[in-house]
Amino acid sequence: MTPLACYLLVAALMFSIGLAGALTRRNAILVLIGIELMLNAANLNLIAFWRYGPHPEKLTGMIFAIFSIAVAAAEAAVGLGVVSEMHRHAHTTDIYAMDRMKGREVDARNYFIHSAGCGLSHHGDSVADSHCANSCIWRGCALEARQAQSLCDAGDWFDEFCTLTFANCICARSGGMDAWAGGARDS
Amino acid sequence: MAYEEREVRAMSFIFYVLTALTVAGALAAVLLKNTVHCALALSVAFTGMALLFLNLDAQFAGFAQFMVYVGAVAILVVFAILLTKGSETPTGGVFSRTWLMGLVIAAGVFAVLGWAVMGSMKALPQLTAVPQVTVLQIGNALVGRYVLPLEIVAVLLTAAMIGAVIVALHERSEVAKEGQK
Repeated sequence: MTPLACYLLVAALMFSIGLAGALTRRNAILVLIGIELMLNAANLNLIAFWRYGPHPEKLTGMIFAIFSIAVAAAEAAVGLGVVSEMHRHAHTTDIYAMDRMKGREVDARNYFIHSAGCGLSHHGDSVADSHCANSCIWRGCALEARQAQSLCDAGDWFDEFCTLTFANCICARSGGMDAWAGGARDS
Repeated sequence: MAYEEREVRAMSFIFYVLTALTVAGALAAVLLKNTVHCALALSVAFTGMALLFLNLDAQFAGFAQFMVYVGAVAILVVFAILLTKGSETPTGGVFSRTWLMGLVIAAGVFAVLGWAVMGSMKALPQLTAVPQVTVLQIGNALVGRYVLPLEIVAVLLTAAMIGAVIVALHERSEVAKEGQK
C-alpha cells in the first residue's frame, strides 16, 4: 500500500468517526465536535495530496488546508456562539429541545390566541412582550409551558389568555403535561 | 534501495503510532459520556492530526493546526461546555434515538471512501521526494497568488467574530429579569 493511500484511509476513517459523532450524539456541542473532526479529515486529505502529488512547490494543497483551518475556526466560533444562545433560550444543549421547525399539527385557534396575546401585550411591559413573542415561536415544547406560566405572573389581565395557552401547550405534544408539571415544580 | 526501504518502514512506524493516537482520540471524543472528557479526547485527536501534518513535511500547516485547533478550538469547546453546564450527563442518554441509523450511514460512508481509495490505488501519485518549503515561500504565495482568498478569509473571520459576539450577547432586559427572579 502506498503512503498516500494509507493517509487517505486514515482520513476516511476520521471522517467517518466525525460523521458518526455528528449523527448520533444528542449534545449540540458534541455534534460540533464531530463536524470539526470531519473538517480535520478533509485537511489531512489536502496535505497528503500536496505531499505526494506532483508539483508540491506550488503549495496548492497546503494553502488550501491553511484556509480550511481558518474557515473551520470561524465556524467553531459561530457554532459555539449559537449553542450558547440555544442554552440561554432552552436551558439545555439537547438537540431534541430544538425541533420547533419540525412540522407539527397546530390548529388555527392556537395562532389566533397567540397573535391576540401579542397584540394585547404591546400595552404591557417589554418583558411580557418578549415572552409572548417567544411563546408564539416556541409552540408545543416544554419551554412554552414555563413561559406561559411566567406570563401569567406578569399580569392578571392575561388570565383568560393564559388558561387557553396552557390548554394549547398541553395538547400540542404528548408529554406536554409532564413538561408543564416540571415547570410548575421548578418555580 | 535498501536505505530507501528502511526509511519508508521507519516512517510507517511513526505513522502507525500517530494514526493510533489520532483515531483513539477521535473515538473517545465521540463515544465518551462525560462532555469534558470528550473535549480532552478531542484535543488529543487534534494533536495527533497536527503530528500527522508534521509527519507529512507540512510544518507550517502542522503548527497552524496546533495553534488554531489545540490552542483555540479545544479551549473554545471547553468554555462552551462549562458555560452551558453541558458536563452534566442528560437523563435521556447521550446518544440520539436514531443512533443506529447514524452509525450505519457513517459505516457506509467509510466503506465507500475506502473502496474508492483501494480501487484507485494504481492511479494515485507516488512521488516520495520531500518538498522543501520554507515559511518565506508560503508567505510570498499568500500575499502573491493567493492574496484574494486571504483577504476574503480575513473578512470572513472578522464577520464571524462579530456575529458570534452578537449571537451570544445577552440582552439587558433578560439579564435584569433573571436577576429579579
